Amino acid sequence: MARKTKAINDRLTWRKSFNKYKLLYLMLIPGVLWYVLFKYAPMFGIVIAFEKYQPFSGLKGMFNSKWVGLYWFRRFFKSIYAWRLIRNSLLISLKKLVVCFPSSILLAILLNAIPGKIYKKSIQTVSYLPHFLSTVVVCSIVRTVTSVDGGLINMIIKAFGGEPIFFIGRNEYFQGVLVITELWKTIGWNSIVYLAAMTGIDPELYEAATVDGANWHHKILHVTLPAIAPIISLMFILRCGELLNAGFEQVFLLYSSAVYETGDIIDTYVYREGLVSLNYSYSTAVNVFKSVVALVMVLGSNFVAKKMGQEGIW
Amino acid sequence: MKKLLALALALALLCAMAPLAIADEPITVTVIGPESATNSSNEGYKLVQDWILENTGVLINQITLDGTNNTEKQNALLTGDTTIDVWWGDWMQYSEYGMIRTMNEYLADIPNTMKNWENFGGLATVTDSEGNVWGLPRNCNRVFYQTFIREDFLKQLGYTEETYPTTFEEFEKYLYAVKEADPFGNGETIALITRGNMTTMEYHFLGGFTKHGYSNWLDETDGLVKPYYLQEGYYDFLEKMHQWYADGIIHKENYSWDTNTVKQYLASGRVAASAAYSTDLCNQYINLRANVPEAKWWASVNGMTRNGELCETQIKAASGAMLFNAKSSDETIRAYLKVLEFLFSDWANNYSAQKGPQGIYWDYDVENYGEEAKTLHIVKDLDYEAAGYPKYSKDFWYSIGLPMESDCVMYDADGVQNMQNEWIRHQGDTFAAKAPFDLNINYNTTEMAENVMSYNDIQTKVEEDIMSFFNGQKELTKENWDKFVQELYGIGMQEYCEELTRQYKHAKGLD
Repeated sequence: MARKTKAINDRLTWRKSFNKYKLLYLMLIPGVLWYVLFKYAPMFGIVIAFEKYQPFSGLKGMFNSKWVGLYWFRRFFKSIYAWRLIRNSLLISLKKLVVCFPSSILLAILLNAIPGKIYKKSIQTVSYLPHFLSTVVVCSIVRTVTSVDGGLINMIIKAFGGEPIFFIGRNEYFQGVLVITELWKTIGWNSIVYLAAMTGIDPELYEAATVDGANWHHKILHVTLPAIAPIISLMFILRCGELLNAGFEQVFLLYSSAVYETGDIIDTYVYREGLVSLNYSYSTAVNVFKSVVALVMVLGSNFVAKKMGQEGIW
Repeated sequence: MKKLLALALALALLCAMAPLAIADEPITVTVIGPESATNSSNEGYKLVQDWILENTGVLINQITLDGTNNTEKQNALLTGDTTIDVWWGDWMQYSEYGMIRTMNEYLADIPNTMKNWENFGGLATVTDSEGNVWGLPRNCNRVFYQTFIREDFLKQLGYTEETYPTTFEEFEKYLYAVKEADPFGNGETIALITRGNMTTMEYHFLGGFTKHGYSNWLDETDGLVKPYYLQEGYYDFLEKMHQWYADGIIHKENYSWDTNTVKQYLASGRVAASAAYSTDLCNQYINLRANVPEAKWWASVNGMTRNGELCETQIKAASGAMLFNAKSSDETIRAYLKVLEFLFSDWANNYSAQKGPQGIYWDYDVENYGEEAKTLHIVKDLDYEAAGYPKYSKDFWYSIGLPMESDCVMYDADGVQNMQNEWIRHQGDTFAAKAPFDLNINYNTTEMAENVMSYNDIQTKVEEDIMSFFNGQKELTKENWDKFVQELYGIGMQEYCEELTRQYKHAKGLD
């Protein structure tokens, strides 16, 4: 009886809420539709990872292709390159995470500490600019700057009596180039969210800390960082979901067969298998594996963050 | 009442006109253009599109790709919303997916087009063992990888025509000499350029080191057909290429360049010798002359030799073809064939598709060669820009035009013979190169990947490891090479060779 009453009350509350916020619900419809149509409905396409799907057979092909179960997954894990693809994707992504993630926090803290408004704004603008360049342009710049044929870096190396190095053609340098490029492109833009979080810190906390004799690094450690910790935790969880996304465009535009050992990632492999060899089922299976890992990573990091008393994403 | 009558009359007129309007609509055919298409202006594109429409009643909606990663872009377009009626590609791959139609019943519609191919034997390359014709041929067995040398540099180095390098050893000597002399200046001379991958080096030089050159071969000891890199002599070839790379004969970044970058270097004047695709080089000659007026390319038509063996290998026509969508209507296909027949029934039409309409962009060189210019197809470019016409370059010129290209002599506005034209005329019959062991055999790579689980792994390993030996990331020693071969067998080389042999025997009717 009590459960029935609760259900009726819930329904009434929902109806009441709907009546009250009709317009807001109405405004929600396009967004929900967009998600359903473009994010959830296409997920049905995953089914081709378990079929022998014929390219160009369209939607119909998804229903009448031969069911092969886990064949494509087995094939991927039997490939001598499966582990290398996972390793490269993870390594590149982890290196980017280790270098780029704290760097943008550091930049935000430093920017926050700058007293002069004009100076601060100038640095901010300069650091945001690379974000607006397309990856194609960024990679062209990288190629030019690192070229052995008049590139700035090699000119400096030569000036000091060294031998020019073809950075993007050597396995030992390739991942480093990717990380530095990513850092340059994203550090400024990624710092915005932390700067925004810092504006919410009560200035009285800093004043109190000053009264207590805190110097600038004490203030960063005991005021700024704890205040932005929830946003750092949130950004970290979201970033963990991207751990197998090593940056397709960037790698694709810079790599060659000479650096497959360190540069070939799951996405480039999927691209070659899917669009070049037209093996859609196989490339979908590899991508499904990647998505499952990403989901596990997000759930895992969310769980750990909550256990540590930080904010989760839900 | 009057108003009602007027309205009814107007409606009746509209209804009567509607079918007329539909009937007047030209049939539109959507085509992904061949790679040779370059950079026309929008106006130039429209001008030639209208010219074809006027003459055939067919509107060609031509999609031009820019030359890099075209296979991927094309496949993305083919799976998209737009129906692509015609495109170029590997018929074996697309027929496997039921994507293209057989053309047997349509060949009668294009007698002139097919007649042009008669002497080239290209039709066999698009026909399966049951006699189904899966497209129109793109190519035939020819030599496209001649080693070219800058004649102006040779002269600067004191060579005379009698002493031009014709052997591999002489060529190597030239490469080191030209690197040392640096005729372009500032240390910027590139002694040898390749197309950015090992394949072009293999096409150019492997024949001098191995029996079959860049070709699969039959191993008499076990009766298996094996890939080119398992031939005796491949190690020596690779060692030499690595030495050239290490000594700076080949640019340090060359292996990461795409085709467009290679073309830019060829046009810049920095390159002293070319192991690139001859069309890349020939088509850039006009730009090279603009940068270095005295520049001239030379190649020995007798081929280059090493220890008496020809170095260059002939290219197989392979299974590349003009393909027709199985889902396109019969009417659309026939409309497009009408356009082809228009372009291939008359040499001038074909040339106009390449250069732009006759009288605006080009004309027969009657002034210098008399009326014979018309029958011999001796032509010259006209200064269309001065006459106020837009730039046009090849959009509607289809690369099944090889027979037409060979049947003419083209001169540019300066009276210099078009280099591509000159070499296409030469290379077909006279250029000496090794013929591949399996010249007329097309291997089905889709079947290969299905029957040999590790097929893609083998391809990746070969591409990657050989490149690493070449650029020194892996030390090239006999021991390491043997280890590499053993690793290949460890991941399925035996199965791959057996599949190659099976397909070879099947194509030869020996199974």
